[in-house]
This record gives sequence, C-alpha cells and structure tokens, in this order.
Amino acid sequence: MVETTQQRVEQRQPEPLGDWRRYFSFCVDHKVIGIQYLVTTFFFYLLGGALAMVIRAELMTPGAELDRSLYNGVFTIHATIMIFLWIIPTLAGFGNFLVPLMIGARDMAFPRLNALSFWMIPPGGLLLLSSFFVQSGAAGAGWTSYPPLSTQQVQVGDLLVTNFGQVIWIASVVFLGTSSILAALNFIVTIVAMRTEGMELFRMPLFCWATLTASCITLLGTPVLAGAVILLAFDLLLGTVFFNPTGGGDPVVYQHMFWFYSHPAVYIMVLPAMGIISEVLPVFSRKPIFGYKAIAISSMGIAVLGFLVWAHHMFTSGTPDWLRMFFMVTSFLIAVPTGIKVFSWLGTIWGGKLELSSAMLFAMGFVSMFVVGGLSGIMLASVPVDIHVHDTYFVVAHLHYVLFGGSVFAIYAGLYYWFPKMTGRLLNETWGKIHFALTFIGFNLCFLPMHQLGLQGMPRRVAEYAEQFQSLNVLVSIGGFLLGISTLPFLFNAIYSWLWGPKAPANPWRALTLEWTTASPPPVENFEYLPVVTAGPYEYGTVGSSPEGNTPTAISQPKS
Amino acid sequence: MIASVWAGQTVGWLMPVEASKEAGQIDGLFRFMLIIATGIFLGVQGVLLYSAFVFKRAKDDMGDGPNMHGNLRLEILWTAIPTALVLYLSIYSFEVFQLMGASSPMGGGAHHEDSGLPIRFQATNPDPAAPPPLIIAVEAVQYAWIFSYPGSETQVSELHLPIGRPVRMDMKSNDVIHAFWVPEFRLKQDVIPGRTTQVSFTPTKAGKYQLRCAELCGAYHGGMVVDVIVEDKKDVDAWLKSQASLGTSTRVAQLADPAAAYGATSGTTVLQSEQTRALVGHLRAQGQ
Repeated sequence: MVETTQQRVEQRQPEPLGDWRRYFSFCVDHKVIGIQYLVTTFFFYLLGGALAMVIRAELMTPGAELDRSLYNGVFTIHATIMIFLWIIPTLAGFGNFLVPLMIGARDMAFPRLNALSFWMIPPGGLLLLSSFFVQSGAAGAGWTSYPPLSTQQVQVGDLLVTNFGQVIWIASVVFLGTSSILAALNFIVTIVAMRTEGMELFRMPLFCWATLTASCITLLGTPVLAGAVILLAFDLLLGTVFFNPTGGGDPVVYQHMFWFYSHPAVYIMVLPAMGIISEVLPVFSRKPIFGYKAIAISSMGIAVLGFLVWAHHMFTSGTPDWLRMFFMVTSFLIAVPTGIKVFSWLGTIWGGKLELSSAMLFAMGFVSMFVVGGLSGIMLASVPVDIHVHDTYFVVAHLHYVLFGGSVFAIYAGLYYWFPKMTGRLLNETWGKIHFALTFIGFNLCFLPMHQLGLQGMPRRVAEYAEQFQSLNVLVSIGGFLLGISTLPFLFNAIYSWLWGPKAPANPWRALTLEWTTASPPPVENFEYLPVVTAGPYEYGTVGSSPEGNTPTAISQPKS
Repeated sequence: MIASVWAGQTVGWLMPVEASKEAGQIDGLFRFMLIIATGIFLGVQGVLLYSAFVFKRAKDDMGDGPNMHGNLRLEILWTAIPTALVLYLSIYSFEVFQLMGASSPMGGGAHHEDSGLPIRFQATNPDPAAPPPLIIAVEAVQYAWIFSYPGSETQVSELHLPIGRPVRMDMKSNDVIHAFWVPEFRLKQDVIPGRTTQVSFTPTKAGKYQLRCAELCGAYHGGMVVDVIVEDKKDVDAWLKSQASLGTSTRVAQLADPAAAYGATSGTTVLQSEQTRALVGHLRAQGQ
C-alpha cells in the first residue's frame, strides 16, 4: 500500500505549488482550485459590494437620481453576484481546499471535473456583467426574476425590444448552476468514497459534514432552478406561455419552482458557513465541540426540512390558507435544528480558554449576528406577521443578517483561520482585529435600522421613498459605506502577508484536524503517507496533552 | 426578562399606527414574538460577551479547557424548549390568521383562483349584525391603481373607505404582478395576472394613508403610490358623487403618472405592456 502511494506521488509530480502561473492554468490540484475559487470570488464580492454602494448612494435621498431601469439592474446584479458568484462558490472554494485534506485524501474524486467546475465561474461572471452593456440594459426584475415582469419587453427609444439583459441573466445562472452541480457531485463522491483509514463518518470534521449536506441540497435543488429559468427563457425568446396567463400559463408556478431551489439555497450558503464555525470555535476555545453528533445530525435535519419551507416566500402570492398553515409550521420547525447548533456553539465556548484571534472574533460575530437573522426569520415564518413585512426592508434586513452575518462573517473566520495553511504565511492579527471591528460596526449600522424601515412601511426594490424614511436611510447608507471601507484592511493584510508575511508553521493554532498534520502549504498530494485516524477531530483537553498543545488525534503513519 | 417585556411593550415606535381591526391582532402577535426574540437575543449575546471576558485565555496558558463532549440533558432541554415554543407560536399565528378571516386548514381550503386570506370572510364573520362588506374592484396596472365602487360606473384613482365597515378588494392585474399594501392596515396581497385575488379588512381609524405597490413591477415601481382616505360614510358618498360628476379625463389625469413626476418627456415612456396601453387608452377614450 505504502509503495503504491509513493508511486502515485512520483507519477503525478507536477510543478511546485508556489509557481504563480499554476493559478491561471487548468490545474487539477484541489488546493490550487480551492485558491482559484477563493480569489476569483473575492473579486466578484468587491464588484457586488461596489454595486451595493451605488444602491446606498441612491437611497441617501428620497428622490431617485439614477435612471430607474439602471437602478433595478444594479440591485438585481448585486444580488445575483453575491449569491451565485460570491457566497456559494467561495464556500465551494473552502470545500475544495479543505475536504480532501480533512478526510485524508490525496485529491478530489474527479480532479478534471473539479477544474472544470471552477473554470465555469469566470466566464459565467463576465457573461452576467456583460448584460450592463446590451441595448436593453441589465436584467432588472430582481434576483428572483418573477414573470411576467421578467418576460416583458423593454422600451428602448420608441421601440419595445426583447429583454436581452434577462436572457443573459438566465444564461449565466444556468452556467453557474451547472458549475455548482458539478462541484457538489465531486464533494459527495469524495466524502463518501475517499476517506482515509479510520475516518468514520462520525469522526469527520463538522465542515465535511456540512459540505456533504449542502452538496446533497445542491444536487437536488439546482436542477429545479435550471428548469424554472430555462422555461422562463422559452417564454422570453420562443413565445411559449408556461408562465403567461394570457395563454393559459401561471406566473405563480415559476415562484414555486424558483423557491423550491432558492430557499434550500440559503442552506447551501449557511451550512458550510456553520461548518467553518464548528472548526474555528473548538480550536480557539481549546475544548471539544459541544454536541458533535447533534450538530452533524441537525445539518441533515436542516437539509430535509429546508425542502419543505419554500412557500413561506409566497404567503402573499395567492397561496391557499391550508398550504400557508403547512408551510408556516415547517418554517417554524427549522428553528429547532438551527437552535441546536447555536446552543452547541455556546456550549463549546463556555468554560473554555478563549483566544480572541481574528478568526475567533469573526466566528463569535457570526454566532451573534446569525441569531438576529434567525430570530427575524421566526417572525417571517408566521403568516400574519409575514403578510405585513413581506417585500419590505424588514426582509432585506433579515436576509442580510443571515447571508452577511451568517455567511460572510464565517467566510472571513475561515480565511483568517486557514490562510496560513493555504499560503504558508501568517496574517497580521492587528489588521485582522481592525477589520473585524469595522465590519461589525458597519454591518450593524447598515442592516439593523432596515428592520424598522420595513415595519414602518418602506418596500424593498424602490429607488424613491417617502421623506419620513430619510434619516434611517442615511444611517443605513453610512453603515453600508463603512462596510465597504472595512474590506480595505483585509485586502491590504491579505496581499501584504501573502507576499511578505511571517512564515507559518504546519500547525500555528495547535489544531487537531488532519489538514494541520501536513506542511503549510501542503505538498502536492497532501500527505507523505496517508494518515490513519484513531479518534475524533476535536479531542482537546485529553489526558496526555503536551504542554505545547495536543498530540494530533490523527496519527500519521504508513498504511500497512 | 424585564428587558424583553419592555421591548414588547415599547413596540409602538417600530410600527405605524393601527388603522384596521386586523392590525391590532397582528401587532399583538408581533409584540409576543418580539418579547421571546429579545429574551433569546440577550441570552445568546450575554453568553458570548461573558465568555469573551471571563474565559479569555491568559497569555502564557497553553493548556486546554475540559474535555467535555456534550451533556445529553442539556441537549434534550434546548431541543424541547424551542420545539414547544415554535409549536405554540404556530397555534397563536394560526388563531390570528383565522381572526383575520382565513378559512380553517381542515375546511378544505380555498379555491385555486382565490387568494385564500379573505375568501371565507362572510362564513367566518361571527357577527350577523355586521354590515356586508363593501366590495371594491381594483385594477392594478404599471404604474397605477384604478378602483371601481359598487353601483357606480365611475373609475377612480384614489381610495376612500368608510370607518368601521368591512371592505373587500377584488383585485386584478393586466400586466405584471403587483401587491396591495397599506402599512397601517398591516395587510398585503399580491395582484396576479390571470386570477382575481382578494383582501379584506375593516378600517377603524380616520386618516390619510398610502397604498403602495409592494411587488417589484418595473422601472417606476417605487412611484406606484396612491392615497387611501378613511373617513365617515357620508364623506365617502359625497366624494363618490363628486367624482361621478367629473369627466373621466379629469380622473384619468389624476392617475399617478410617474413619467411626469420624474421629468420624462412622454407619458408612454413608462407604459410598457400592450395591455396597459390598451387600458389607459380605453379610459382616455371614455373621457372624450
């Protein structure tokens, strides 16, 4: 066995990982692909953030300064970028880099497919952005693209023309969706089939559990989204009437299909983020994760329930009463597995020896902000309350607490935590803490007042609003700009440290999961010898720990 | 605990005035949820902040915390309490929903073309002495609301509602999806092309409110706002009479014209669908 393994290493011996050109090639090493994902999607995050700044600048005053069609295009593309080109693929980037390392594999199950799934992202993103330059303007029907609005012709001069911006939006969503299906397939096969000896399912790091569950959701949900938007394209281009009531179609059917994917999509984004948190908290609390099995099983609970809640986005869409009651109960119930996770994280921190590093601060910030998003989510699950706040800024606040507080905070926690492993360099902690403080303050200043705006009566997706909402909107915009500025210390820190930062040891955080048993950055094919795992991943505080830390529970030894 | 109750009591500043019978019930439910949410929020933040200060690692302490993997009792407790809580919230929400005029889920549900929410209004209205609802036909078009009162041919672009009388809106859209929303009434219902949706409520407070479109309906979506005036029945009747005596063209001129409001050169700039053009064309023809 050992011999075979070594032979494989010699055969595949590619160029050294440090060569920057590899990052621009069709490289099949999962670590290179992981970093390609992370860097590319961060670029899109900055672009999506710039569009958010445009939105917030527009909303500083009650009147509308921008052309309204352009404004609609800006928020539509902002949302589409953030979801399809930042959160979902960046978490796939973490998965790519980490999953094989964490389960003791040499690579993903299908390395070429893996490279392909990354290389679909840049053209998909450029395609989406190109829609700003077509004659009809970018898609402006919101990231949900409800028909008949999305299938309406648009006026250019005196002519009504086909909405090619919308066609481009559909094409890029199908493109990016295909990429995420391929990645999901790869994760599932890798985790199921390629775990090293002793790596039982319930010994896997929780990030792998989260990636596995999120991949299952992707595999089941994304084709339905593809179906919905392809039918939309037929309506738009070929004159079919799937969603057109004048020809016997029904626009609400699109909503069912869209949300059948898009609600679970929230969990595609949040579950891996939760996985990151479950890795970071034990290390910096020096304690095993509290309720390992409860967290793993609750991920599956969320995945199953996640497919039974979609119609809570449609409580005002002419949905029959009995159906609203059913979806209300299921939506409420999803709070239970989510709550189990939150309480388990608190249990992990409680009584530990906390090191408040940047990664830990972002992880604690995640818990804190995700709870706010979860609580407003419970309110939205209730039909009577939802009827009032649906399609208002209350929903905008809720979704940003869940997707910024609950995903972006985790992504940052993950970047600070694994940066040394990925690059072999340490990030500067002081800049990290400045970054955290700015992000936390900007985030809350931006999204907290939105709750009140929505309750008071400001609808979402408007360029103009009643004057009474101006002071809160100015506050929100200031928060938004601060949030934009907060990325600068991180950018500076990441670029500087990657080039000139202090060299990182193999295990700077004294963590116990497998990726820390190999060099930083890991060599090609990850491990000199495939490790054999003899215990769970979070055995902090066991008898016999060395004063400098713990003996990794995974023992590296030749397979025999 | 005190803070959560305080949060529940002071919810008034978060919401606009309650101007319908339904608003009070919805606010009551919201207040209750806010009390629970504040309690959980403070609990979680308290643990996080307390841990950050009290359990902070000393600089030279390289040891670990206790090797504690879980606590079955605690885990059962924090599964059971949220489960009980959300089940209670489901029942409470369901009750409020029924009081708002919804049919029972056991009663077979509403027909496909119905919105669901107000369909069984008369059946569930327990008070036989209550006046029958005033049924107003609503037509939503990009970017205007057009109302027709019963017994009158007159189409108007402003909503006047009598205090204390139940109202039902029968709503149609000729182009895209719109949504009827008056924040002070706390009610919202999409207006979907191809079907008639309904929303019922009883205005209880005199005043001038605004009906906004809540579902993104195109470039001038934000401008699709009209006044809703709640007043005595006789004032409503007088207003209706005055409108009937006006020519249609005058009333059509009152339609919200976002293009004019935003300095666009022509009114047709904002009218995107053929249906909308046809409808407004029809109205204008009537006035000539």
